[in-house]
Amino acid sequence: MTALTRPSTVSAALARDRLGVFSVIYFALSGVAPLTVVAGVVTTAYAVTGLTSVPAAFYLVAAVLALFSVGYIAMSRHIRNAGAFYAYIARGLGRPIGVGAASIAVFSYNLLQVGLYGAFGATAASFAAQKVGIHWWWWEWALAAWAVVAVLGLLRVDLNSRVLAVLGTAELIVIVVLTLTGLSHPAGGSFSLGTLAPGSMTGGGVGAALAIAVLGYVGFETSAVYTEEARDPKRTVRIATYLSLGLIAIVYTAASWMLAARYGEHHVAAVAQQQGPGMLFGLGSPLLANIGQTLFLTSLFAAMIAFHSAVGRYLFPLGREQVLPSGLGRPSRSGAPRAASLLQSFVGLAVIITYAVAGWDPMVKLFFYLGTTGGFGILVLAAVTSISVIVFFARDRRGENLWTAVIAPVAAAALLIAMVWLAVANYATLLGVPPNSALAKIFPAAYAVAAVIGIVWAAVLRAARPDVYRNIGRGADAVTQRVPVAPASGMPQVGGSTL
Amino acid sequence: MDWFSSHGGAHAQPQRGQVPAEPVPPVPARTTARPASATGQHAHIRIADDLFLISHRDWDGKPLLPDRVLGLALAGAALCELAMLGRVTVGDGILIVVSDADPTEELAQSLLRQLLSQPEPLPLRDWLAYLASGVTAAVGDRLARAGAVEVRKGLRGKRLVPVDSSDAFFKAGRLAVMLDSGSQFNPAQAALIGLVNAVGLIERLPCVNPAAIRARASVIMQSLECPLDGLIAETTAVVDNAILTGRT
Repeated sequence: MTALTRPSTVSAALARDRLGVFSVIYFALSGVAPLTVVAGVVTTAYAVTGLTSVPAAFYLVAAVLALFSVGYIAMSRHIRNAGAFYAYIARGLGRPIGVGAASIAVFSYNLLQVGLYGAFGATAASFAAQKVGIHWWWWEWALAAWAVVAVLGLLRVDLNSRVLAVLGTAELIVIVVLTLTGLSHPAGGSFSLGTLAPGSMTGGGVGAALAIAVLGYVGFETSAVYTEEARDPKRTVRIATYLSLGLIAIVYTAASWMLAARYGEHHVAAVAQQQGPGMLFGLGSPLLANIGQTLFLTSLFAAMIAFHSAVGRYLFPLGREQVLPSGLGRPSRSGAPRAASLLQSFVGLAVIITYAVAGWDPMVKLFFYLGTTGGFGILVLAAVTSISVIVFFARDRRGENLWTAVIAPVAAAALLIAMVWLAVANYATLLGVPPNSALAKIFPAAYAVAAVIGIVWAAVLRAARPDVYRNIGRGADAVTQRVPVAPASGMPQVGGSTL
Repeated sequence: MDWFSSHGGAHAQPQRGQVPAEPVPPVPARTTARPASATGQHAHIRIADDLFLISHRDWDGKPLLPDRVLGLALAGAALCELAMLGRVTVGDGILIVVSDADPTEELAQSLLRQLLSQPEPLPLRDWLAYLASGVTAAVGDRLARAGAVEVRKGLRGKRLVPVDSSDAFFKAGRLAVMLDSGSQFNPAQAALIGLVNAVGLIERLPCVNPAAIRARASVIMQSLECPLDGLIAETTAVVDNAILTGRT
C-alpha cells in the first residue's frame, strides 16, 4: 500500500503558493498602520477626550477581541467566503440582518478611510511648510492623496506586501525607540503605572476609551479573509490573528502609557492639544523625528489604501449577489472591483470638499470624529458577528468544541455588547463635546439608520426579487454540500462549441 | 490506494471517495439542444474554448480579465467539459473521478490523467487553484490547433488573436441574443453562462437590456444540475475570493 503514502504533487505545489503565518500577519497589519494609531489616534484622543484610561483600554480591548476571534476564526473555516462580516452575519442571523450589517460595514469603512485624509492633509501641510517651505492648505494635500488613492484603487496597485512589511516594521521600530526614549525621562522623575491599571477604566468616559482602543485594532479582522489561502486553515490564521493582536496590543499600550508617564497624567491632554502628533516625534532626536514624521505620512497613506480596498471588499459581494447594482461586483482587467473603487473615491472627494468649504478642522473633526465613529461601527459589527457565531454553532456544532462554539462566543458577545452600550453612553466624551451636544446622538444614530436601510432593502428584495434574496450571503456552500446523485453522463450533445 | 486499482475503463470498480458510475438515464433535454451525434458517441463540448474567446477582446486578443481570474474560470470550464463527458463529479466539495476511460480530446485526456495521478481525491477548490496557472495556455493551444486563434507578436508580447474576429465577437453576441430572447439553454450553454457570470462578464455582453439578461442568466444558472451546479458555484467562489484577497 505504498500508494497511500505517495505525496500529492498538486497539494505540494499549492502549499508553496499558500500563505504562512507571517504573510497573514503582514496582510492583516497593513490595514492597522501602527504609527497612524500611536501618533494620530492616541495623541488626538488625549487632546480631545482628556482620558488617561486609553493605555488600559488598549490591552483590555485586545483581550476581548482575542476572545471574539476564537469563534470568528472557527466560523471562517466553515463559511469559506472572503466576504467576512457580511457573509458571517447573513449566515448566522439571517439575510435582512446580513444586509443591514453590510450597510454598517460600508458606512464604517468609508468613515475610516475619508477620516485619514484629514490627518494626512494636516500632517503633510505642517511637515512640508516646516521642512521644505511649501505652504499648501491641508485640503490641497488631502486632494493630492485622494487622487493617488483613486488611481491606485482603480489599477489595483495594492501596495506590495513586501513594501508594507518594511514600512510596518520600520513604524514599529520607531514607536519602540520613541517609547524607550520617552521612558528615560518620566514626568516627576518616576513612572506612574496609574494609566495601566484596569481601575483607571472605572472613571467617566470608559466607553469612549474603549471605542478609541477598538479603532486601533480595525483591520485585524481581515486575517480571516485569508483562511482559504492559508497554508494550514486550522492553525495559520488563528496563530496570525493572536500574534498580530498581541503584538500591537503591547506596542499601543506601552506607547500610550509612555506618553502619559512622560508628560504626566494631568498634563498629557494639554500637551496633546498644543503639539498633536509632535508630542510623540519630539521625544526623539531631530533625525528620528523626521523619520517618524515621514513614516507617519506613509502609514496614513497605506491605511487609506487598505480601507479603500475594504470598502470594495464589502461592496463587491453585494454587487455579485445583485443586492446592489451588479456593476459593483464586476472586476476590471486589473482585478479591482472598479465601480466599488470609483464610488468610494467619490465619497472621499465629496467629504474633502465639504470640509474644505466649511473650514472644519481636519485633525479633530475629520480624522478623529469620523475615524472614531468608523471604529465604533466596527465595534458594532464585531458585536453582531459574535451573536451570529453563537447562533451559527447552536444550529450545528460542526465538530467544534464547547469552548470554541459556545463559551468564547457567548463571553465575547456579552463583552462586546457592553462595550457598544458604554460607547453610546459616552459618545459625547468620545467626541470631546458637551453631553447634550446633538453630535453625540447623530453619529451613533447614523448606524441605526444604516442598519435600517439595509434591513428594509432586504425586505424589498424579498418581495420584488426573491431569487436575489435567496442568494444573499450564500456563496458556494449551498450547492456543494449536496451529495451527487449522478454524473452528468449521457447529456445529449454534439461536439465543438457550445454556441 | 490509487483512485483506480485497474484502468479497466468506465466500469472500473468503485473505490473510496468514488461514486459508482451507474447507468444514468440521459438528462432530459430542457433545451434547444441539438440531437446527439449520429455515432452515438458523446463528442467533446468545448466550453473552455467559448469562455476563452468571450474573455478576450475579439479584434486583438487582449484579455478582459486578470490572469488568475481567467485561469480559475477556464479551469472550471475544463472540468465542466470532463463532467459533461461523465468522467468526473463533485461531492462535498471533492472532485471525484467516476470513469477513467480516456477521452479522445487531448486537453480532457491530459486533465483526466492528471486527476488520476494523485493518490487520493482532492477538493475541487484545490484543483481549480492548481490548474489555474496552466490551463489558459492549454486552452489557447487547443484553439490554435483548431485554427480558431493565431499567435501575434506585438509590443505587449505574444497574444492569441482570433483568426475570425467576427466569429469571436458573435460568441458573445449569440449568448446575449439567446439570453435576451428567452431561448432554452442546454447544460453546456448553461454552464458557460455560469462561468461568464462568475468572472463578471455578463455585464459586457453586447445587449440592450442588461437587467433582463442578468435576471435570465440567474434563472438559467438555477437550472444547472449536479455536478455542473457545484462546479460553477465553486468556481464562482474561488474567483470571488481571488478578487477579495487581491490575489488575482
